[in-house]
Amino acid sequence: MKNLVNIIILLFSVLFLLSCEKVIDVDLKDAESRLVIEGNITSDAGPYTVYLSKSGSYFDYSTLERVENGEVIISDENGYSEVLNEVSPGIYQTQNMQGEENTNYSIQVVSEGEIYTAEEYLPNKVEIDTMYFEKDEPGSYGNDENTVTYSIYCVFTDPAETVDYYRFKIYTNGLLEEAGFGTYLVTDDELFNGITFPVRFAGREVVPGDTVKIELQTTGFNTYEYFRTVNDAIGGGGMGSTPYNPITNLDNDALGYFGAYNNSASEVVIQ
Amino acid sequence: MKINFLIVFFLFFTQVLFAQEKNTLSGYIKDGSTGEELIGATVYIQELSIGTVSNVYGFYSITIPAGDYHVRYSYIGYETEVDSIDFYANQVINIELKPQSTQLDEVVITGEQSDENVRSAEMGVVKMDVKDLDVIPVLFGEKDILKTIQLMPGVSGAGEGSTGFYVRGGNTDQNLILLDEAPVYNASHLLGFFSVFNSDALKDMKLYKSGIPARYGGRLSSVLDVHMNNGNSKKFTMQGGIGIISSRLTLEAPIVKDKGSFIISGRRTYADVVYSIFDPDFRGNSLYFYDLNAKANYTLGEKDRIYLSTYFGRDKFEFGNFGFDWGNKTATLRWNHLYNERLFSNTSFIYSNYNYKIKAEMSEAVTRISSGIEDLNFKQDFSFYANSNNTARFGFNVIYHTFFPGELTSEGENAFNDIILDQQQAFESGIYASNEQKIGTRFNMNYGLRLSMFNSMGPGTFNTYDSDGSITNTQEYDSWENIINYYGFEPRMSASFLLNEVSSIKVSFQRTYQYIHLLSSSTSENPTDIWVPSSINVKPGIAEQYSIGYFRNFFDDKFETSVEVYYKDMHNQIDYKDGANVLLNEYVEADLAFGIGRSYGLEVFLKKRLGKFTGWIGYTLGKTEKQFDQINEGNWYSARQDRRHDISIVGSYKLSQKWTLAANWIYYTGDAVTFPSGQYIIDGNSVPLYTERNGYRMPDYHRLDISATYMGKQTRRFNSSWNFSLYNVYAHENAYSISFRESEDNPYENEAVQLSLFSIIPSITWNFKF
Repeated sequence: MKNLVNIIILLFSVLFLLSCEKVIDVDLKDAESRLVIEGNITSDAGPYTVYLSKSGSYFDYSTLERVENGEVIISDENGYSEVLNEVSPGIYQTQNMQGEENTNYSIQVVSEGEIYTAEEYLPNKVEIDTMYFEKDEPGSYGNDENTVTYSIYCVFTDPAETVDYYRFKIYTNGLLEEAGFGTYLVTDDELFNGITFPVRFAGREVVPGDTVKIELQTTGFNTYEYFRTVNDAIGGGGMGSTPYNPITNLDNDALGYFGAYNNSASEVVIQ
Repeated sequence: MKINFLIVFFLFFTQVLFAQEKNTLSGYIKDGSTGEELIGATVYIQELSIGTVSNVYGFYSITIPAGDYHVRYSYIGYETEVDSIDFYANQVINIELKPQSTQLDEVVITGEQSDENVRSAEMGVVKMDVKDLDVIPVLFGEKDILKTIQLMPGVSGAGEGSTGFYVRGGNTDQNLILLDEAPVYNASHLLGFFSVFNSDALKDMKLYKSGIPARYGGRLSSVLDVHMNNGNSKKFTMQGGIGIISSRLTLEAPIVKDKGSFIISGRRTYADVVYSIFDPDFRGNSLYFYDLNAKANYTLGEKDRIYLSTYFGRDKFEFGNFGFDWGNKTATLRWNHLYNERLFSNTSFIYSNYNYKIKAEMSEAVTRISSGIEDLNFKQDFSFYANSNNTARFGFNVIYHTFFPGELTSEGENAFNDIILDQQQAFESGIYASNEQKIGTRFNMNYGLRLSMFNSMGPGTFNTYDSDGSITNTQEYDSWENIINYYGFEPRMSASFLLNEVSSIKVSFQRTYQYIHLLSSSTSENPTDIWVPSSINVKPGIAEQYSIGYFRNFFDDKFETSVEVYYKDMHNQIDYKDGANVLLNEYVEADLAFGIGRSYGLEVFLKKRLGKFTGWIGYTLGKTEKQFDQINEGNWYSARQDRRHDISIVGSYKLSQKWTLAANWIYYTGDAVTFPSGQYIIDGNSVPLYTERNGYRMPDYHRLDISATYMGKQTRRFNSSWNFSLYNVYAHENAYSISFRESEDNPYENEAVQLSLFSIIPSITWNFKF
């Protein structure tokens, strides 16, 4: 819905051909560096990877450091736990662990004498029933009459008895759609709880012969909440609401998230 | 507390009622050419050196001892009339003042008595006669009262081209905007670039920044009271204007000459049609708004008049399979009745409605989203002109609010599940009494008390939340079952003390309550903003404001100056927790955070009222801060509208009978905003790291606009004028927003991108009247 507002503003500005966008210099402060944890446990086969790094200056990527010599432990609700190996600087991996659905997981990270923890639930799988495509009407979605676009439909049945959270990842010929402004496609099931529903990805510029693959991830609530709000953080600073840091399940002021998801995938070839 | 209220109430009534018996001179003051009632015209008894002014219905009443008098009726822009009367019994004198033929020589900003600004107890008040907007340069040539008041000290615009405004640090939803007494819930068109006020249909407006009289209630920061024209009761007239993006047409005519009249005024934008000519791809889509104002009045006899006024406006946006429209509806039925020469009554039935609707057709399903608010309002006001030193006002009103927080429905093969949030209903009521009193020749005061109440009622299921947003209790309520009550005592006071003939000191105090709140998903004016009632979780907002000012006129009242300082405390303010979702969220109250605010500042105003050159300079030095336990680690932070400096310079020069030139220049400190103070990488993307709330500033804003108005041939039957405007003459790229993102061209580089909306914009408007 916030996008809706942006669309209208954009439309209005375009309408009068009056707006002007330019890159400017802004003097930003440098906040104290904080630990960043990014890790997921999934129903796919391991190993599962956890990345430790530090935040840095907004305009200077060289200040972003990986964090070595951390202690990373992932445990499940049944008492199984595993210490992750640092396979390369800042990158930690499991060896034997296998993510199970309908299970709670927790992470503990010790770095520079501080302890960070988080918990997340790995939900049951929801299979994609079918996928199909359809040619869009010419001139839709702000395109001109000559641009041919397609709508890709991904049909699945949402379980009625649970509140479910989804993330979609779209690959064209194996290439993942770049994340950027508002492109982490996450949703809860409020609008389609308990029904078989075709989610439509419209206005895609693909050509016959292209293979479009969709990964349908059922995610834990915290994972959903993180990606929902990271969209706001990445796209923030405009005329939307006051920007804020994404909502994380990590404690002790750590940035990032500890996520869990259950993956199903399907694909369709455009003809 | 209740007892205190009653004591105050009775005290001044006894004083008023036992005042010495005298006779009363009363009547209506009107424009002799159109029959429009004149608001704030002066009646002055020369032998007694006392006077009064007409009220918003043109009615005046003054009680004086018997004698032979000269009574002077005057109003700026009109020829003064002096009547000799033998005054030994109650008398009714209705006066029609003739417009001055030389009126065009003087561009005046208000119609008030020349030294009224110094004498009156009112402070922090902005008055404007809508005619005076004609020459001020404006964006797209659309004159707009909401933009013009932003040129006054203490009032600042909510952004480039926006009709939203902040008054003395208050949020945009803390302004009570009344159109013929009906609250207007969303006063903007097209995301705030235009207001709902079509100036052709309007007569005048008054903005109270402080010392809000007790008869107004419901918002914390200000009251903007706008009156529509009644329509010409003498003859049929038609006026209108054609501009680059919109046109206007107004018809006025008597129903029965001198007894009743009506006015119908419409406006529609057609920028989308123009745009389609240049961009064929846009054809078939639309983006426009229209307004319709209509009003009729009729005099039933010496003592009774009725008025019916309505407003209807809608924005329409259609883009392919997507449709979005929103707008306000208001209707006011008023009955003026004179119980006697001294007791004036007005009874109003008021309807207000705002809603938006979205319709999207996709995937073989039609989805509709809608939300809104609707009011039924009964209002009874009395003015009692007790004697020449006291005018008492008292009355009450009851509003029945229905809130439609939102619903989403869809139908078709691939329909969504519906989301329907429960309607909510509440009574908001107020009872008030106030008195305007002159004590001696130097001291004027206006004091009053308002008792406001809010009763939220079932049916519905309502949750109670703790500060983390977790539900602690859920309760179901039957129809009309009381959910929660709030009430508040709102003392209001303002006073002036005349130091000498040309200068005065004024003080004022007010406490205000606000029981309904606007939840906005964005910082710009937004059609999807929703009004919500106070509830178990949301307490009514409370504000107290203290102000003191020095007023002085120079050179025979040609120049007016004032300096005012104010301090405002605000309680139970609302903001959002991180990640709050305002739209279609059943648990939206769990996403709200509550805190306090304070605002203080200094306003300097210098105005030249008369002569070939007129205009004003307004300067505000201000600070506005908020404190929320859950935001910014509980530390005070600058509100978005915290502007240290705000300067407006407005001037117009009458070059000749034909040409008038005008210019305004605006400068203000950039808004307080939140920018990143770092970054980190997630999933290969740069995520900004935010620390302090509103710890950065947008660049300072400044802009110069100029205009030239050419009066065409003026005959008795037809006259026309051309207005040429240039907005943002030196094309300063003011930042509308600054956003941060990864560079598209260079990996591992971030950039700050400034969006500017309006560069230099010329416009031309042709206005006519016959």
